[in-house]
Amino acid sequence: MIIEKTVKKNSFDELIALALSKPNIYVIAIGPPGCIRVLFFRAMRANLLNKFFAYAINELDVISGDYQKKVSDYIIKIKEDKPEMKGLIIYTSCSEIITGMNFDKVIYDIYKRCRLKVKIFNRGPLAKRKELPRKKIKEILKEFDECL
Amino acid sequence: MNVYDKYLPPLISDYSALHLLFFDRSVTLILLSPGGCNHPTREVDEYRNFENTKQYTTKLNDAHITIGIENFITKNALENIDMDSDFFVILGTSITNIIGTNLMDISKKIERIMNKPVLYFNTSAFKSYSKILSEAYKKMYPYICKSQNDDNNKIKVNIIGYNSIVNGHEKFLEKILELLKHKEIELCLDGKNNIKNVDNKLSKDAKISLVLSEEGISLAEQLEKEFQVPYEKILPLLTKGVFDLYKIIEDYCGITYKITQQHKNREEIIIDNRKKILIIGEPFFILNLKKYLFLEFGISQISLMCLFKKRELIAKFTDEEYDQIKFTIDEKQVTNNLNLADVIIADPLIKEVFHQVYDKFFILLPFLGLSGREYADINYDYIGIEGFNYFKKELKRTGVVIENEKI
Repeated sequence: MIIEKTVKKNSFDELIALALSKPNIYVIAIGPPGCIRVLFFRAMRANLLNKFFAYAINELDVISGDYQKKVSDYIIKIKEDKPEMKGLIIYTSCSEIITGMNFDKVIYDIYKRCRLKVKIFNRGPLAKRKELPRKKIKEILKEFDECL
Repeated sequence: MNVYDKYLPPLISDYSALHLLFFDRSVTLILLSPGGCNHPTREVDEYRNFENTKQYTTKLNDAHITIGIENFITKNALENIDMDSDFFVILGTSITNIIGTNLMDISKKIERIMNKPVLYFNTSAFKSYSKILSEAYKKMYPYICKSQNDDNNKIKVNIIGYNSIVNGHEKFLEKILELLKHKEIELCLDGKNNIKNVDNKLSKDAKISLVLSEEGISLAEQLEKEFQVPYEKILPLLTKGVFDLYKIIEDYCGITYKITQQHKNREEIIIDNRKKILIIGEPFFILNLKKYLFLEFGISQISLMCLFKKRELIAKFTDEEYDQIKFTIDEKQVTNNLNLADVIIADPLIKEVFHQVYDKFFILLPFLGLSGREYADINYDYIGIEGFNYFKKELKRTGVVIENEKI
């Protein structure tokens, strides 16, 4: 097992800046509060806070494994608030990956209720990647082109 | 919606808070993580430089998670870890919480391999700072107290519970220690080892423990229970707070502080009490600020708001104190309170994210539990005459202080 010394870092805000770089494409981060805190500040430092949302899950959500409905309802509220939103990227965390959280239902439900296109970006060290996160975000953004 | 869904980041998490607490103590800390869990601490929460700390993070992979982390804690895995510390600390994350890692087993294993005491904390990233800080102060008690009686004749005064989350930048602790300097007194800290001219271990013979945060009370209570060291909660805000601090030490230690001109009582000043002031922040801090803004300036129209749920706190406030604070995270209640205020004293992040405050007078008061290192270095003060001058200047700008010829 590798154990590394923790050192101070400047913000890793390039990825969130890229994800929020297209007009009318928003980001919502889902995960434990301690995990999504850093994304708020990355978005803020990139001056993109107006397009960033967060949904903090709690321990009960993890145990029940059933918070798709709550996430859907929350996204619908955001859409009501931001009618100009044309696409949404869900940033997941290790918690969603490790519990095998399935967002297909959320994507379907949101599209059915408000015609909003939602894409998933699995972030964090447990995400299985065949490509660099930056490349993955670019691909996701390209997929949104048709709805812009 | 609540304010954390729409406007604000979650408060500093449990494990990040412990990184900050153990930052300048003789502790080797290991965070059990897939590798990325330290980002909030590294990028947002800690304003100091990590270079000289002994804080580590694991890089857990699928095998560790499937087979169990316990099986990978070996002498080899720990060989590059700096052992020059009084004790080890093991912290959990959301991953260890979800897979049910037994941190006690891991800490026992590390204890055997490293031959050092190990404390573990079931942190998870699901909770915020307050309760875990209180637990940590209590747990580290045996390692931050002197084991033997002191051989010098100075009167010992313990200083407990200063942490950057509640009290802000470390420079304020240094100011407090400077104010307390006295030839007959030896100041004893709760394990912080980066401050000169003080003892970094608490004394069991102390005449008094001064507690500077709610979270530090668990430790002060322990000292009181075992060694009959009494404690007092105090935050020496503005000049009257410094008076109160001196008074406590004088009463318990039988010494006298030579009070300089700048700390002498001031004549009352005239203020505009029609202006409604709203203070938002950490409960212990804002209760004290309200008290001393009244004592110092005579301001009575002050309301307090905490953007927490009461159950997140360990605070042992009296009913009277609790009644003074509006605890809420509800968006409507928060924005209503912001709308009702003429002057808002709060973390700069509040100004950044709530458009309701754009036309209000705003006095900056960073709360690191909310905004991390983002505003930790801004120019503000709350202690002694400099603290008084900061608030005097700001209150004059806001029109609350309308006449100040006498001061």
